[in-house]
Amino acid sequence: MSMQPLAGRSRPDSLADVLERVLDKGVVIAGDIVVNVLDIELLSLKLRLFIASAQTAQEMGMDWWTRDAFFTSQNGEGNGSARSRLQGWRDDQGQVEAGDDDLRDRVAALERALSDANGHAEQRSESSATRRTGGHEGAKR
Amino acid sequence: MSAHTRRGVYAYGLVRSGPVDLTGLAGVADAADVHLLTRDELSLVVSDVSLAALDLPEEELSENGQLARFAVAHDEVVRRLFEQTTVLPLRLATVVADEEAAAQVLADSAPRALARLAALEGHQEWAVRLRRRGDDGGQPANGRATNGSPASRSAAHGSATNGSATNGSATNGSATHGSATHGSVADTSSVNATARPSGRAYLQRRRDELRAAQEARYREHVLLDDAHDALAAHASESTRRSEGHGEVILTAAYLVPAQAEDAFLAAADTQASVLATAGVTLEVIGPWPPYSFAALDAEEKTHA
Repeated sequence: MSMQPLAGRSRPDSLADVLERVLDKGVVIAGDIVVNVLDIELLSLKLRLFIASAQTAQEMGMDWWTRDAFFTSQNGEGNGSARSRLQGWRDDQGQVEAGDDDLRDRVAALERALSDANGHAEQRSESSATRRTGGHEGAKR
Repeated sequence: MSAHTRRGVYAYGLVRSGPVDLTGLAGVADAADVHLLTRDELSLVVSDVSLAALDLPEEELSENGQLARFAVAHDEVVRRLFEQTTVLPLRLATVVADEEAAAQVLADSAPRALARLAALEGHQEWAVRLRRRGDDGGQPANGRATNGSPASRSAAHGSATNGSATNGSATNGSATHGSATHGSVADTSSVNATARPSGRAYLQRRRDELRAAQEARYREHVLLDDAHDALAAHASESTRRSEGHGEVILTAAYLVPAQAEDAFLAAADTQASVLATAGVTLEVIGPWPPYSFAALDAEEKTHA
């Protein structure tokens, strides 16, 4: 069977668009009168996975089902906020790590400044060292 | 009869009874001839197929697979009808046992099908797909809002690099205490000069980011609604589906009467340029036979 008719249209539409329409739309004749030759529901679902994996594989990762209405009673909104919460959490992680770097730098700088200085330095650098082991870094390592 | 020899009547679409040119159509699978089954005012476009030929392996779902050829063949018949008359496309793989059963389908659906055909007359379906541009397909608003943090993070890394450079010079000149001290003091003051990461500032920044992201989502929402409304104004009916938060954010279909087509496409161009400023691309796909408006029972269709 030729793919010719697809090319002749005024604007290009992909095979995925055709498949989506013929699988997902159109009049459904219901009842015993119909011979079930294909599991259209299943094919329709597979098609969505196929399209999704082809188009957005990179950004979708493993969470394709969070956007499929078939799998979620929520609308996109709900999924979005869950997603943005996750993103927010990731950002937080990043910022905590960045904060750690900041603190480590500052502690290092203070220690250097204090190491050449006088007797009081002993105490302070000790306390900053204590803070360091007790603080973020201790928890991290 | 074995499964291999069983045959059925494959149905493509419903049309009002009348002359239709179906010559040269291949039909799906091993279909022999695409023809009309007529009962009073309504006709079913069918072909005789073997059921075994329609039994596709599930792995066939690919660009070149059997299912794709099947779908294209189905669409080809529907399009041929669409070019000549008003058609109600049937869903792929609608098969009944024999022509008697097909006559039953015609009898059962006649009143609803004829009413629907009247509503679809002189219309084409146009699909519109809105995509969010950009690498961060998921959350561009969020991405924009958090732009500050990678910047501040790299600033922190910058000072860290400075620090280690100072450290290096201190190690090199371990004998000359003076220069080492000088370097460290300078470094400390530069750290103090950049924003000291306090908990309060962090929370404030987070709150601002979240609010900005929320506002951006809201603005996008309004933008999509406006675009959809502007297009639906030229359509007799429309459907829309939000696509969650992937790259595609909205899929919509419009049932556009022939006389409104130019206005519809012009509106689509206008909306495309409006949306472009917000980083959203608008794709127009069509024209299609009215696949998205072919439900017999008035389902959740938005009447514009």
